[in-house]
Amino acid sequence: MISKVFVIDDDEISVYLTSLVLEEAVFAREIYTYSSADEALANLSLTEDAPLPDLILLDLNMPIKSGWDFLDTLRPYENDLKGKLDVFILTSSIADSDKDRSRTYPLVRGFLHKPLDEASLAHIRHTRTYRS
Amino acid sequence: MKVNFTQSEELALTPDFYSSIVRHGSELITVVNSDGMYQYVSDSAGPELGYAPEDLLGTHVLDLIHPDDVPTIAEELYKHTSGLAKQITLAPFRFKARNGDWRWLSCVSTNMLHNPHVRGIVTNSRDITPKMEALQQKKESQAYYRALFFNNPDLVFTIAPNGRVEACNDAVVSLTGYTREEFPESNFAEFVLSESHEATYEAFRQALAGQPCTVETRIRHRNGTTRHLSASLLPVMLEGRVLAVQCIAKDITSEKEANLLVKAQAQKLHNILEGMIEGFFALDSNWHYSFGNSVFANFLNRSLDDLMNRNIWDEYAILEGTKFQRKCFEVAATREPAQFEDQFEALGVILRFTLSPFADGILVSFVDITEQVAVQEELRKLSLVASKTTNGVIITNSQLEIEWVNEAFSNVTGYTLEEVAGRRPGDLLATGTDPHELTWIREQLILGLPMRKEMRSYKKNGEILWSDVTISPIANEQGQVEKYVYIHTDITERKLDQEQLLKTTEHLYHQNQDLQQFNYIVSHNLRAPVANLVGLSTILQKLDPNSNRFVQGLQNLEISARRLDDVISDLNKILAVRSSSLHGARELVSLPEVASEVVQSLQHLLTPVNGRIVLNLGQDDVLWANRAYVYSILHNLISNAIKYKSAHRDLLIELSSVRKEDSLLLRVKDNGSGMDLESVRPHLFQLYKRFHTGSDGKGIGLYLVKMQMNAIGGEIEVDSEPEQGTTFTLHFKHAAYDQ
Repeated sequence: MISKVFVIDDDEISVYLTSLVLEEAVFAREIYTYSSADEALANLSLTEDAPLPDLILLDLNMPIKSGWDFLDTLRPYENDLKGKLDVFILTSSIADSDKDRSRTYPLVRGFLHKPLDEASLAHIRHTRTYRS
Repeated sequence: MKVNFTQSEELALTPDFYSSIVRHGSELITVVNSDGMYQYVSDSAGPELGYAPEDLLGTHVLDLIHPDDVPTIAEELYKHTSGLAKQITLAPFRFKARNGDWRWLSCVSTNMLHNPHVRGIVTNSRDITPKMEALQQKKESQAYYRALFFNNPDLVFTIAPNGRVEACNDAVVSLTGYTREEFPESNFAEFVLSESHEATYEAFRQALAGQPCTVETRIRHRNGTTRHLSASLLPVMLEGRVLAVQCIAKDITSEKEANLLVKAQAQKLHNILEGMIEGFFALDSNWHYSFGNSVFANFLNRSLDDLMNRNIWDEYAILEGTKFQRKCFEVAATREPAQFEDQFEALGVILRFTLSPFADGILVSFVDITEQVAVQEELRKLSLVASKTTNGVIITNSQLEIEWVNEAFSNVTGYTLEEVAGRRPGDLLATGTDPHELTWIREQLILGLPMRKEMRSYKKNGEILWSDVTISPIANEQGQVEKYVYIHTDITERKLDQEQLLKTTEHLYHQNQDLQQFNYIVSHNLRAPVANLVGLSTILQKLDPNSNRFVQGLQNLEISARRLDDVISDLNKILAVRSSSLHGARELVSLPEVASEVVQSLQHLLTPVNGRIVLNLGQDDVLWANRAYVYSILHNLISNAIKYKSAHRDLLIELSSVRKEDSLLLRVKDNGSGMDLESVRPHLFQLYKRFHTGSDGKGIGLYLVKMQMNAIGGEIEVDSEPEQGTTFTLHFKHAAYDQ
């Protein structure tokens, strides 16, 4: 079972729904939700030897700092984070261009379409299990 | 005749003695009484007068006297009868002879009326007719001589054998300018010019030898000028000896000078004709050559002497039927001069003729214009090309100053030759070109390098003219550039097409990007609420309908459904603006009016936050636009200003307008929270981009504003500083206040 999940999304209904699905599925011990990238980054201890979330569900379309901006901020730490932190894009976008772009970030392990459902969770589990 | 008596003789003589003397004396003795009647006539009236004494007795003495002499004689007679004179010698008078002739008589009359023996006037008369006639003849010949000598219009003078001028007439005086007094001591040689000495002396010697002769000589007038004389020298002979030489001279100065002038003019004419570059010849009325100059002779390669008096048509059969021959006949017939050109294929020449009639025929002058015609033809063709070509052609001097332009240049640029002559093409046309580039071009040209360039110029009316310009320096034989030839090909259309194409491409590119963006964002924003709806409806089925979670889920379901509705409604607005930009309904929109309405509608939001709006707009700030858009634009901008007011001060919004020609600038300025444009600018006017997290912005307002501005022909710019405020500048291009 996954211990710590971050949900980063400015759409509060989407956040509510995602959290609800995660809870119903008993997917993680801890679920943290953030309505902006900056908020999430503030709670991500990148330099200290502090516990990282195992999984981040990241929305792309957000004001001020988008999901892409968030990923760009993590760029310098990619090597450190790889294997410890899995990012899954969770977006309402169905554009292939976004999916293609996400592949350029090593931290991104998957590209999920909203709404988050059982199948998506199965995919996350499978991906993580396959790697380990 | 007076008769003297002595006392002693008187006594010795008898009356018979007297009577005998009187009757037989050579003199006629008459006695008339106091009435003038003859009382006695002596016998000697006989031989000359032819009267017998008895013929005269009883006649009146005046009856036979010439009427012209009667008054004189009558007067003398009166002197006797009145006793005034005793004896009178009468002036000679004419007395009629018996045969009718007039005889001259010389008389002495004595008054003896008181002598008782006589009782009359005794007159002794002598016939002096021969003497009177000789005297008359001498007078006449003197008059003739005088007339011949003094009154002669020619110069008449006498030269003594020693050469001295002895006498001269008035003509001599007036012709020489010397007075008669200055002559007597002078020698004729002093007056003769040295060039004429020899001939004149020879003639004088001949005359002295008794041989009359004539000589032409020149003399010096007193004022230094020359007179030409033709002089006849006649020896005056007396008893075989030459007494003097009589000269009769004519002034022939005018004739001489006229002759000289004629000669000089003839020479001058000859020189002119020989000096002419034209060939020149004359034909007489029988078409014979009567004159020609050497140009003419050389042209025919014949000698003039050979040609003279030959018939032109016989000599040159090739002239038969030519224009030249036809014109010759015409001129001969009409006596009107003619000028024309004729081509002689056989000789390979083109000649230009001038035919002029003159008294004895016609004069022909001609010049060989073969080369000239060829050059002209060449020039004509070249100038045809230059002037008729559709390319603009400029010819400049070495200073690049325009000397000539062709029709096409004037047609294209609108400048006539008069307007551009003397100006430099670069200064005139390429006013928009970089001065450094112009300088560079000129440097290249000065070096004699040809050049080809696409250049932007301006027509006279200010329109842009794109030309492909070829500039060719034209050098003389020494290699110095004398002219430049510019050939302009008008490529404006091509250039404008290119520019238009670029613009269109750019526009399409942007539109395409807009569309992609739009599609992406719409798909995302449409799908977001849909995804929520799907997710919520799925999970709701699993939840206990009585739980709190279910109620919350249901609420969220409703929110999501409303969001979906909002997005669809936004979409509708956007699509409406998009299509209106193609065929929008425009009207006159009063900016202050619309602004007031907007302020009114937002008053309920302003009042609670203590906000204030200042309108600095002119009453005539009118736009040619879609009224709803203007309203929407102002509404969006002002609501934004209210939405993003600063937390630290009361809101102040100011709307002010500046008119620029036919456009209008509207500033919407607030003192709100502002933005960091550095990061925001690229996305500011994009759909569903939001820059504030704390409020309820959806990210469609500015996108719509921009779209609406574009739709009514305007631009929007923004200037902002965080915590200072934001200014939106709206640039309306169609402020149609004059429509």
